[in-house]
Amino acid sequence: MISAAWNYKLPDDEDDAYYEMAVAIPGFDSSKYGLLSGVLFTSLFSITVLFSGVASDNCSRKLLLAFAAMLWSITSLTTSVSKTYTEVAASRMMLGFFEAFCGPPAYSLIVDYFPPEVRTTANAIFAFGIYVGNALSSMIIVLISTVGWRWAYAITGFIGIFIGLLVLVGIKDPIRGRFEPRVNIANEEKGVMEDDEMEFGAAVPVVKPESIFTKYLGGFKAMYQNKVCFYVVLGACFRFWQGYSVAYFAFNFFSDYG
Amino acid sequence: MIGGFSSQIIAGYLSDKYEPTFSRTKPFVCITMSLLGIVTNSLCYMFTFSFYFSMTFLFLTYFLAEGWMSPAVAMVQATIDVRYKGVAMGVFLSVTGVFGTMGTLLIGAIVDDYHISA
Repeated sequence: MISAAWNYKLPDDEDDAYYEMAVAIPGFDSSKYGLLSGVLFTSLFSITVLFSGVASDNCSRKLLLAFAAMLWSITSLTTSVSKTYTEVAASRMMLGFFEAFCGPPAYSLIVDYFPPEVRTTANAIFAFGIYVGNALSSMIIVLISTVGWRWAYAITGFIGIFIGLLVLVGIKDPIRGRFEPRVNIANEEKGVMEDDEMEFGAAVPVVKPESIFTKYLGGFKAMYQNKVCFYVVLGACFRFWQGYSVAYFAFNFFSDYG
Repeated sequence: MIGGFSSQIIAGYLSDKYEPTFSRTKPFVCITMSLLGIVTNSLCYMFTFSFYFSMTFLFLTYFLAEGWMSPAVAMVQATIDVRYKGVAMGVFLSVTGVFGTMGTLLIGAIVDDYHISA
C-alpha cells in the first residue's frame, strides 16, 4: 500500500498532497521511502517473529491472531493521520511488529485443524491469501484515486479491525497436538513408556514445567538438531532470496520494454 | 495470482496424495519445482526474445515453481516437536525473511557496481 500511496501521480503527472504521500509528508524522499518499505519493516518483523513463535506455543492462538490483526490495522489508522515522517515511520515499524504475530499462530492453528494427510493442501490454501492480498493491493490505486491516500489508509484500517473481530468471534482454538502421536512427552524424556507398569502407591514423577526462556532456546536447538528442519530452512532461504530479488527487480526489468 | 495459487494447490494435492505411498513426495515436489523455476526464470529474464515471451515464462515461473512452500512448511510442521511448532515457524519466517532481504541488497549492489541494466 505504501508503494502506491507514496508516489501516486494524477493523470497529468501533477503533485497533490491529497493523493500523494511524498508531497503531504515533509522530507519523505526516495531514500527514506526505501528505508521504510524495506529494511526498517523487515528487520523489526524478523526479530519479532522469533518471539511471536514462542508466544503462539504458550498463549491462545486465536487471541494472538485477532489482536494482531486489529492492532496492525490500527497502524493504518495512525498512518492516515500522520503529519511527519517520524509518525509514518513509527506506524510502519508497529505494522512490522504486529504482523509478526500472524504467521506462527496461523501455521500452528493449521497443524491442529487439519490432519497430516491433508495438511499440505491446507497450507497451500492458506498461501492463497498472499496472492489475494497482492491482487487486492492493486485495488488500492483505485481507492487512492477516489478518496485520497489518508482515507485509503483509514478504510483499510477499519476493514482490518472488522476482520480481527471476525477472527475473535469465529475461530476456535483447537487442542494443541491433537493429530500428533499420543506420546507423553514428560514420560518420554524420563524414559518411561506408556506400557510400563507403575508400582501401586508409587509417587508419580513430578516434572518441572519449562520456563518460557527454556522453551525458546529449546525451539532453536530442536530446529538446528532436526535435519529435516535445518535443510528445509536452508533451502527456503535460497528460494526466498530468488523470490524477493525477482519481485524487487521485475518491475524495472519489464519497464525496459517500454 | 492464478499461476501462483494453481501451483500451490497442485503441490499440496500431489504431496498429500502420494505421501502415503512414497514417503519422500514432499521433498521431491520441492526439488522438482525449484529446478523448474531455474529454467523458467532463466527463459523469462536471461534469454528474452520479446515482452510476450518473457510474460509467458513469468506465468510459467509462478505456475510451475511457486508451490514449493506448502510442502516445505508441512515438512517442518510434521517433524518438529509439538512444543516448538510456533518457534519453528517463527525461525522459518525470520531467517527466510532476512535472507530474502539480503538478496535484494546484494543484487542491488551488484547492479549498481557493474552498471547492469536491471
